[in-house]
Amino acid sequence: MENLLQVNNLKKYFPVKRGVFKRTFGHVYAVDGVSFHLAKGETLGIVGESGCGKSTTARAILRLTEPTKGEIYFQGQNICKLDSSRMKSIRKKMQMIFQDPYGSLNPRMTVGNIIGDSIDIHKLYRGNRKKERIVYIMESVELNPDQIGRYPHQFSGGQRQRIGIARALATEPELIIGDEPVSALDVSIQAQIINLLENLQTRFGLSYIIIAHDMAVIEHMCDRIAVMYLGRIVEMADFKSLYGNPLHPYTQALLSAVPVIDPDTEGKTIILKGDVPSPINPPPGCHFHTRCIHKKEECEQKVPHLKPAGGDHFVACHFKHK
Amino acid sequence: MPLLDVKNLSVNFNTLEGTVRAVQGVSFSLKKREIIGIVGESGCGKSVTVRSILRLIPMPPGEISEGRIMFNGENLLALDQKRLRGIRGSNISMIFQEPMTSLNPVFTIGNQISETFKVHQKMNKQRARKATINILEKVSIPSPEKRFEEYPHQLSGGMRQRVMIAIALACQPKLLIADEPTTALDMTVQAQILDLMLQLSDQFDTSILLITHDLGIVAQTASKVIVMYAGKIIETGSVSSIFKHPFHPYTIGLIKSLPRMGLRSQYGKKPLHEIPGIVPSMNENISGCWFAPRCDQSMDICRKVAPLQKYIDSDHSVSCWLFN
Repeated sequence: MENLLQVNNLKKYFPVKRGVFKRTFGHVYAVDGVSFHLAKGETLGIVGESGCGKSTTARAILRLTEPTKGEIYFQGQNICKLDSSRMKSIRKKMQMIFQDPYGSLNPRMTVGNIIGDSIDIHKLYRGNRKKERIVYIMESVELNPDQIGRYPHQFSGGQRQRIGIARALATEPELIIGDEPVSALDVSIQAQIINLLENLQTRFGLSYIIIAHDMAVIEHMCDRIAVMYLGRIVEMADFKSLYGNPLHPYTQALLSAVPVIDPDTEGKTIILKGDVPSPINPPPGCHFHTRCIHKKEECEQKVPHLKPAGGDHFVACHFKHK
Repeated sequence: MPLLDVKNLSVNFNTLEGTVRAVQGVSFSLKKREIIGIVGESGCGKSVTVRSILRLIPMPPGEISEGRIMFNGENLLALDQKRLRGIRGSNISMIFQEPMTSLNPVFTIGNQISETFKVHQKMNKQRARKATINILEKVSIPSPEKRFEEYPHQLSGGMRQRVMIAIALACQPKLLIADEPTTALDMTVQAQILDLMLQLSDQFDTSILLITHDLGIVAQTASKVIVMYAGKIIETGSVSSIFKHPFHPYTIGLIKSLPRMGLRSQYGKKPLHEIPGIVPSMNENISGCWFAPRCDQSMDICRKVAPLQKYIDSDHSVSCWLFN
């Protein structure tokens, strides 16, 4: 299968400035050497706790924030080197859905204008053809096209997320990146939006990168999953082996922390000590060693690299490589 | 005698767009050392219900139009503000969702926790400091003496929620109301906080009223569940009977619409169950069952007359015409 997207050693550091002269005295290592690929039609999940760099990774792929280092190949083309006008034509093929469906829609624009705006920007359709296109997209996301003149505040949370999806679809993208697309929604609405995203994927042949913290949602939606911790991928595998046989101690803790709705399942929750350390001065060696129960001396000094652990399963842990 | 007995509670909000009937005739009771989970989607009235217990809803526009809330044999709704203040934080305390906004940014952590001891247990400064450091240790905050002098912004989200728990449990209350205590937290931190809450409530003999939208949390922590929809209780029962044999179409739909871990590996990918439509707006006037417009089993009577609560067995009740 051909890769739609290939990310090599992506890094994004944010300088931390202080004092009168705004001297840089350190960096936030938001994304610290991340590599992965995405095949056409595939769904990749990125999970991790807040501050682990999953959103920054997504934004760097779209160059909404400039990567510090690394290469991003989209359809075989390194997009890090493109100038802004060439980038614009690429960006039409990669769109984003955001978490907060209210905060990401302009309250002064009607639904028709919100969807039509991206059609205008990329000069896709004009006049009647544009109107037809907007109606078609609204129908695809199961919004009533009669409501084309309404404003975001006149819609419910779930419908607003549909508008966000419609806007992303308007430019006929190949890749859609969803940054926590369902986590702000209620359970019954969440199911509607997940099903909608899956239907659209088969209908339009889309590829997805889904960022989420809900492990059950990720398992349901994604073919392959990357687990991130403090800017690095610690484990990557297809959904079956990740959930059936998690190798990294962090993944194990993450999975055990999910409350299961079967009251008979005796929780064998692994309770981790402490919080995620600050990404400004991350712990040396393996970032996870401060909270890991299997920690050895080696972990404090040597950085573990993502290595194959059988089949399509990759893990970055000193003790999991056979 | 139950520790808390809520009878027929109704809360209205008078707004410019008309009266919002946020809670309509809610009754439940909570025994000593019991943990009850209240679940429901946003806007179903779960927060308003528990906030009315301590009268923490803004009045006006809010108004408790009907009902009785008995706590330890005392009607909380009949108490004056001064008596109520004596109960808040000592006998009943509350943990909120946002650990940042519920702490005061201009006072130190130590100051905010020791205030509880000074007000309710009339301790002097030194004794309150000792008690505070003691409780900070209990909620597993490392180096409590140092943290005592720090401000909320210097702590992480999980640490702040620990401080909230420390304040709430400082006086060993009989009842702890936790309103989405872990929603803003990360997965691994959520597990820590839930574990801590259960441990301490066990140690202090505290009953818990836990509000959440996460059915998994309820299944793992509570013994009884109350399911709310549009301001009403539609089903109550023990955790095992609700999750194994739910009766109300809404409860069934809610449980089925959740993606569950392991299902896909076992049975392959299937679309999730959907509950069509959205939660009705609370200033609508719907006669009959409020869930009927979204229910796939609704009958003629559902749209005309509201169903009454019916006990299926001694601890499982449901409000639905299918079982009346």
